[in-house]
Amino acid sequence: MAFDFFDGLNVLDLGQGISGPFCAKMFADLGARVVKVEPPQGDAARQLGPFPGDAPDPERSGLFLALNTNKLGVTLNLESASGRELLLQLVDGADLLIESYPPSYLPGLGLDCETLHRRNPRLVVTSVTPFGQTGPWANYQATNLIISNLSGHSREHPGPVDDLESQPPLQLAAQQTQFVAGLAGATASVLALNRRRLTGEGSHVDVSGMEALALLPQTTLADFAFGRRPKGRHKDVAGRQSLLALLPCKDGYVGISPRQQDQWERCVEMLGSPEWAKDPKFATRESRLANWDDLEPRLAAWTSGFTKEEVYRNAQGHHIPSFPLNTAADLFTSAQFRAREFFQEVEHPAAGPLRYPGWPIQLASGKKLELAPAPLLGQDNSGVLGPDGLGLTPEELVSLRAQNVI
Amino acid sequence: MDKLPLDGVRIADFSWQIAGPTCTRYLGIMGAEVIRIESNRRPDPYRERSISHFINQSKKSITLNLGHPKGLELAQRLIGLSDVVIENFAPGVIERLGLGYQELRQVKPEIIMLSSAGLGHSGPDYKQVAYGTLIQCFTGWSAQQGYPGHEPDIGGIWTDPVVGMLEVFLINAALHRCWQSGQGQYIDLSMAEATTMLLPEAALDYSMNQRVQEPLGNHHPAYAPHGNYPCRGEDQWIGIAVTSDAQWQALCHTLGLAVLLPDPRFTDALSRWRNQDALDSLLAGVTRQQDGLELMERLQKAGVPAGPAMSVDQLWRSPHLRQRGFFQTYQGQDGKSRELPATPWRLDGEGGGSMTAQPVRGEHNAYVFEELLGIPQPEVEALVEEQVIY
Repeated sequence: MAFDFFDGLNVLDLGQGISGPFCAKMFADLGARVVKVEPPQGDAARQLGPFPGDAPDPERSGLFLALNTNKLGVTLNLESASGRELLLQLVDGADLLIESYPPSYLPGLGLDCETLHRRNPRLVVTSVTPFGQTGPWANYQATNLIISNLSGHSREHPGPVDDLESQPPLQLAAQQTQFVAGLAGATASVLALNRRRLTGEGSHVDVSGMEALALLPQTTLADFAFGRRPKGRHKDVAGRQSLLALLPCKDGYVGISPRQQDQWERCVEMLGSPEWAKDPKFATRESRLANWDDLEPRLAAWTSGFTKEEVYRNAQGHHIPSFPLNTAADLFTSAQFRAREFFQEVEHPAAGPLRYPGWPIQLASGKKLELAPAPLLGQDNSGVLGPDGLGLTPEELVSLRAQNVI
Repeated sequence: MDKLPLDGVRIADFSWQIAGPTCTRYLGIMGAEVIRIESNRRPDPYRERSISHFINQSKKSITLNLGHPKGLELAQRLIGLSDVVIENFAPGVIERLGLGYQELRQVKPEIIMLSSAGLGHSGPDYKQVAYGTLIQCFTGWSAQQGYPGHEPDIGGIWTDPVVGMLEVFLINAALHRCWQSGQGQYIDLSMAEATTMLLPEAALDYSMNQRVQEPLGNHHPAYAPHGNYPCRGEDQWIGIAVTSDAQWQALCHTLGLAVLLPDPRFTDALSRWRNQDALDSLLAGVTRQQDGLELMERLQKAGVPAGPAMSVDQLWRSPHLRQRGFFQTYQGQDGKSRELPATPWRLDGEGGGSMTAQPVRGEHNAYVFEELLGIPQPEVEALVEEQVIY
């Protein structure tokens, strides 16, 4: 049995790219009926890699496939009057509409929130954009790098660096800012749906990717609110905060953190109680932090003799926090991820069988995640718009296709 | 907001450290009554740090000794009056305390319980000792988050606050289901898997091409220029991300680099990407004399995605965030007014309910034990004496 959090909930996904479609995926995977509405040329995410064999193909974009599981797919040209009319008919039966266009785009087509709410007063409309619907930057453009920067993350995240010039502030890897924006969008959407039980009314949910990311470096925000000035990024200024090390092994790196005194004592035992560990400069947490530059190479000399898995198992066996630095390849073979069936194989008609990340949850009810493949472009036009959906006849569908409405 | 989404919802919050409290802060701001169960026997190690004043806002606090049979009974009575239980003890602890889901569903069948742990509550490795930043190693996150050609780094705190937001979503999804069907729910959440979930490209690339993605730093797998370029001032940088020919032309004109437009090294997306190192040096030579925010305004007005690497004080001053009401003022325990951001969303223009200061440990003992549970005051005093309320 599939996840049933949102059984009976109808969602329209007008999202394009990453953040809007991820927001809608969070409803689709958890049981809502989600109709993805693409322009006739397709969602821009269909152009984003990875692709099998690095050959771009709008039906085989890894990112698009991952973002659009469990959705029905229709094409609608919202720049035509008949396309907009069909959308409004879909709005009649929807609980939630998710969109991620620039703030002026839908209002420019006469599809502003007021219009949508006149049509369906119970509709929750969620807009997920880089800067939100208001404010001087609302219409600016952003990518993962730009949001990493403007939210404060780039400066925060690499931690103290050796060389400011060759290690500039660093973006979050891949497209994570957009995924977090989508996560914030889904969170705000379900909050608005839950509010509807009290008010009986829909609402307009305005989600800002920049704000979603800016809320994450909580220590920095709290320190600043309490009057502490931010330190520079250079190691000399920032200083080491904790005994957390990434150390070299035969086949990669392992993270280890013997931070508490008892953990350190067990760590010394694991190292075979070497003479150097008796030096008073390594006696306390404070002195170990102060003499880190002396300590780290000694630990590294030891870990270099083992594989990352060996150090991880050995350290955890001594109740010392430790994890290997895993790559995607390691994750696919991880016994832990396997046992929880985190990666799921999905067979897609164009892209074939591929393994997708699933959901990080197990339920006591025993209900499991089921992933249906992302829709081919316009795959459900007849089903959603035709006789069993909005009620268009096959002839009307042909005519709309000829007019490039669908 | 007239009515907050979680008005009338009560949360029994056993969570501590970072991820759980991050979640319950949002729940509190969105109207839930969050009752944090603390204990003097086992104080939250984060409580004395400034971050606690942030993530433990908008909650109530009681002290309860869960190791005492009477403490356990009081916890169960409180849960009987609650809609949601959230906890992130090390796996096995909540069951040992006698507050596992199987017990709680006897107390209240429609209870919603969320338990989060580094690797979840099942699988061969779930009992490993896990801290947020170290978990990031396990997930593939740290292997991708770095500078090309440098040794890898664990990176800053990412998993905890992201998982906190995901927990808000899941709890609201479970409440939504409960209000539709009357059914309870137990959710076992793996922080590691939650982190990996946001990096599907790496998994799909490996699945498609058996390729392990390396850290790209500030570069992009397909487009250039894409990076952080030095600006005027100490350690000031602007990000520029060009993903189309039109943006490239606008960038060159805005920076006074029109001379590059006919250069065969940069005429199309692929040649710009192949020659990105040369391109990066040329751009840095021009950006170095400019103010980051001013340059951002000029580039954005020309249609080029750009933005400086902001520091926390620049965030606080940002006219954009100010105008959107991102920061809310609240009254601290010390009587001083402070500002912190509330939420990244506005529901019909509003960010949430009131933000209140982190409660003193046990501040709401009288409210919870006397008013909610109806225990006469002398009995409450006796329970304090017995170190049950402790």
